Amino acid sequence: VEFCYRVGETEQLVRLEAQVDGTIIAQVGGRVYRVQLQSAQGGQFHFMVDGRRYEAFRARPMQGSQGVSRCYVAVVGSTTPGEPPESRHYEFIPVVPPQGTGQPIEAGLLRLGARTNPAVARSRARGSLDAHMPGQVVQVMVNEGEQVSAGQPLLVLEAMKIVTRVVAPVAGRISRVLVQEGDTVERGQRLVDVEPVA
Amino acid sequence: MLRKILIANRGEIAVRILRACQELGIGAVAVYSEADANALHVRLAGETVCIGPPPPAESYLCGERLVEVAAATGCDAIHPGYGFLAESAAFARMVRDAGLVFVGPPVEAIEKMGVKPEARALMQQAGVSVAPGFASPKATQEDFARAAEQIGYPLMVKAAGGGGGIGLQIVYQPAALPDAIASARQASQRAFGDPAIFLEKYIANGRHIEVQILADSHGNVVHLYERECSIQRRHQKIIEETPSPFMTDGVRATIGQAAIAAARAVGYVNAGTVEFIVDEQMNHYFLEMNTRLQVEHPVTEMVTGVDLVRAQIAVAAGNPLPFTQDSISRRGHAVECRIYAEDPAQDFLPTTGRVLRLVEPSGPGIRIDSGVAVGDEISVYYDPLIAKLIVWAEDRGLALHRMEWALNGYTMLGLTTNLEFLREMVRYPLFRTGGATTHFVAEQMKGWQPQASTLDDIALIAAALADSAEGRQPDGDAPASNCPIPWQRNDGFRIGT
Repeated sequence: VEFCYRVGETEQLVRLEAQVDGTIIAQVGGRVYRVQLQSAQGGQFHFMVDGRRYEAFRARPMQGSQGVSRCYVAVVGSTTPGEPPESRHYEFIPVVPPQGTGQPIEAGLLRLGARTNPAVARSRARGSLDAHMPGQVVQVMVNEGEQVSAGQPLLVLEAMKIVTRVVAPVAGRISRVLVQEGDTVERGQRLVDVEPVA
Repeated sequence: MLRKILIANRGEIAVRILRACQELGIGAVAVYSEADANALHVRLAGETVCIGPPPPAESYLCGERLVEVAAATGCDAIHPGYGFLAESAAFARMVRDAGLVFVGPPVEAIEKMGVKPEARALMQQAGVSVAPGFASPKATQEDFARAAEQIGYPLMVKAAGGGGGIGLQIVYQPAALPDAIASARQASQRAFGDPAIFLEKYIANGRHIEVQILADSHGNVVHLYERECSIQRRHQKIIEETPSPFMTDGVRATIGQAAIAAARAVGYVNAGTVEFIVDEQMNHYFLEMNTRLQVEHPVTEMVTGVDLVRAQIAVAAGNPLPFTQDSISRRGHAVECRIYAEDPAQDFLPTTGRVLRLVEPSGPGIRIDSGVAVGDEISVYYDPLIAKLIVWAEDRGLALHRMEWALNGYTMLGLTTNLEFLREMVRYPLFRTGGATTHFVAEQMKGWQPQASTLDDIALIAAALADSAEGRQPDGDAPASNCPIPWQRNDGFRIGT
């Protein structure tokens, strides 16, 4: 089976294939790992990867939650005696894997690696602005159709005592304002579209 | 003893006070805003009252409403916690005038310490050392410039009406002084409704050291040693510890006595904290007094064995302190890490989300003061502090080692927190050796980003294992057909056992 996750601005394909000996071959990007699952219960996993022991937790918001579907993973790394294990938290966005890679894994042959997500690239070119933190829109300082210069403040966001101004990344025309004063926005939510001047 | 206390706060401190009341067999009323209807402090309380909409100005900052609720529920005292109304003299007076006990200092002590230039003058009279400074309500721009020359650059322009680093400007050259004064006045007006400012010498490479004091209404004042809080971002503390790795026994005794003198000078009663900045030559200067319980009070509790919240309640009830200075001793070392809903990789901006999974570390010497549980929503309305992880061990090295283990055992899924950043901080050599000053985060950790890790691929594998174990396709719903992953077999086949 294949799963694909967006991590930041890249996408990572993970292929899992069960082996006759009960282990699983996992391929991430071009890297191949041998996984031995020891327990899986209620979102908590214990497994060995290439002989090292790991514990992982995975959680997803309940179905019907607003916004993009995300999954959260925490991994606690294998213990070397006397040293604390390593621990990391991650946030992934599950996406549909690309077609045409459904053949069995031959170790080392598949090299997908990190690919730039085209949606992200598109939005960059158009100069649209996403909320960099969750918060409330305190003030909207521009109207649709207005010309703005690079660095010009467009709106003010406030969250937990922190006030920040969202400024135009490029000079251009405001093609859309997607929020109103008083709106509560999530991190990553689109606020304003700016069309750069040609 | 008091009969019933209204807890005028939320989050971890409301939980902390609630637990103290429950242990003491005192009734407690938890209050909450509409955003906190399912919050942990509400779920744990026996009696709860909704006090208004989510914005603090319409709920937790509504003094009159809080006093009304206290009276209506038969409370005889109000505990303000920290933040919100904890240092509002007007609120303390309102509580007193309603015939209720304010679990905190007398109104007059809050007022005297609240106006910073006056507090400085009072401290000087009491023989407490303050940094060279200048304040005068009628001073002209020229007066400030002349005073600045005398104090010497760099110096700080500070708001007279309050602390917390609000309006604080650091000035390195005379040319920048007028602008700094103007912008500090503006910030001060906005935050405290008063444009008054004052100048104070800026101590470069200073250490933020504070002394916990406890005073009763019978004239007894004791100190419970120092806490070092130099690890800060945006003038807000992240890691605190006691004892300070920087202190000598001589300076420790001196600032302890200075803190007691400061408290006596304003007729202080209840728990309070006297903050000092200590320079590289070990000179100490009074900064301000926090006339309330501090966020970081648990490290003092771990090392002295004194329950500060219980002591606050006893003192508020009029009881004398059950110990003298001589009977307070220190044992071992305690460190606190503040867990914030914020993204250190994005300038520490706050984050929101729902706690989907929570695994808290446990074991000898580990304490967690948390305001959240699984299912709780972290909203945009309040302070991003969600929990405190406190460890104790026999010495500093062992305590930091234990903290590393505890941080690695702390799992909170569903929102971005500063856990990763804290893990790196406690491993950082300059912090380990006890050499970190108040500049540490801004200088050493500037532009921090999580490093690539061998765990990155492992996490992706774990995500895929979880998705395939649920028999879900990547798009979320439809069960995968013919999924070849062995633990889905229903014939009792087990792997690795």
